Amino acid sequence: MDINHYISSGVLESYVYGLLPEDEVAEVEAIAQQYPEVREIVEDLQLQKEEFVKCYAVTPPPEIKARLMLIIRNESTPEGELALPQELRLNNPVPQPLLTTPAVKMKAVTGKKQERIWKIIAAAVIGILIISAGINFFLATDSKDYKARYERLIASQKKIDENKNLESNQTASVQESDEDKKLLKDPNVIWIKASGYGPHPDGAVTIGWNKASKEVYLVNWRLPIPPEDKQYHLRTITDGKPADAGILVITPSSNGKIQHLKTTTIPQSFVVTLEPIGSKGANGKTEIYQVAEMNL
Amino acid sequence: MAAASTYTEAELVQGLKARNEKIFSYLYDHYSPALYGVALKVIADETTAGDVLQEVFVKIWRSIDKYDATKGRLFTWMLNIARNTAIDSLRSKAYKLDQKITDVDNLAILNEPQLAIYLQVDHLGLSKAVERLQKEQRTIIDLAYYKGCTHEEISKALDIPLGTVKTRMRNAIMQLRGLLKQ
Repeated sequence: MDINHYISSGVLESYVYGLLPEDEVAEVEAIAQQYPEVREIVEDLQLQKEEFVKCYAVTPPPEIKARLMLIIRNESTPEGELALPQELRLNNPVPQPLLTTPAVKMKAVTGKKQERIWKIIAAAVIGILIISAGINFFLATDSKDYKARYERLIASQKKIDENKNLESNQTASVQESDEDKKLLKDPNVIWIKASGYGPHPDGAVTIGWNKASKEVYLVNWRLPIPPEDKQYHLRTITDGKPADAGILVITPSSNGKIQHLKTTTIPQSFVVTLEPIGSKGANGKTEIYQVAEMNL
Repeated sequence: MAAASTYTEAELVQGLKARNEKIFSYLYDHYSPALYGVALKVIADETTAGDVLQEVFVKIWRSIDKYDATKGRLFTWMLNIARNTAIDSLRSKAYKLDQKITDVDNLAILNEPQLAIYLQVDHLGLSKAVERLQKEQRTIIDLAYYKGCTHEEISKALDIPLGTVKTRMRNAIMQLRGLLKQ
């Protein structure tokens, strides 16, 4: 190989300034390993490029460093991870399922579950049919008693309705008022659907933030009821800094209703976590269920 | 640079591998202006360039184990990360690849606002030496290094035969070398 010709061809300059396709890059690197004079020129060019680049140096805004120091300090916490763009969450400390197989498995499980639910529903419908046939038969044979029984049925229905109302009134924080209904159409409130996270792939809540009052709202649709010793928290993350936005009320009667949480100034992301009661987002005990990004 | 001699490159690499925050902070203080300069030249938008800079330093922190000292200095490696991250962002976000090719096609790239912006940046931080680089030579370096153009794109943009792009690149860099030494 005529190494002088190679050097003067301009390939080394093109290499150092990133103009070569990958295969030629590998070639130059192999030749540089083999010929010390080539290596020396490459090193010289790299140094020169460094000088060239320094000519354009600009001091970055100070908040970038603050953000970075927070990220690296919290890199082993879920909050730190979430402060990163998705593609950088390489050493994800939150146990993530292998993306393909368990997802399929989970589908299979829910499929089976659904099948079982349908079986139960079918059995219940058949049961009701039989009972109703029995009642019909009974009513037909005892038509005199019909009116009284009908009234009794209406009365028991009323009682059930009253009980229902009572039950939903017990949870004050999730009581739905007309004011709440207005929030859904309020132009000051930004509503976003949260996405699932890790082993909880489905979006289960909608989160709102009121630009005017800074209040945070949450509507639960599908979060599973927490075990007795645990509770759901909503946390906001702004500039990589997590903050508590309140504890969620997750009961069958709270579903679909607006919950009022703490106020927060310009949140960037929201995270719903399941944590042992009394813990303060301690490492390792916090499980992330939902994530939402607020694009303002 | 007296401050730069506090740590050698080997010490910096070792410190990063040991997850030393102090070293990371030192590295940021000393290298972020140059890397931010690269991002700004590529993207010409301060917010996106800031995001790129953040991403670059997280990549440095997380992939220091991949740094191979036989291929070049630590700074060269960090510059490569900065340039590639910025060009990826340039391609994926504000300026789409086809936009760039159209620009190259009609040579309007030389009058494009993105270039105009970084020409302004040039005047803020650029030494007189680089300013004296002939326009064509400066353009070829900028298109290759800061815009991530290929040989073909440069040949089209500057209307020169494909076979002479490498030699033109060499001439430009030799001229630059002369100017930087002055």
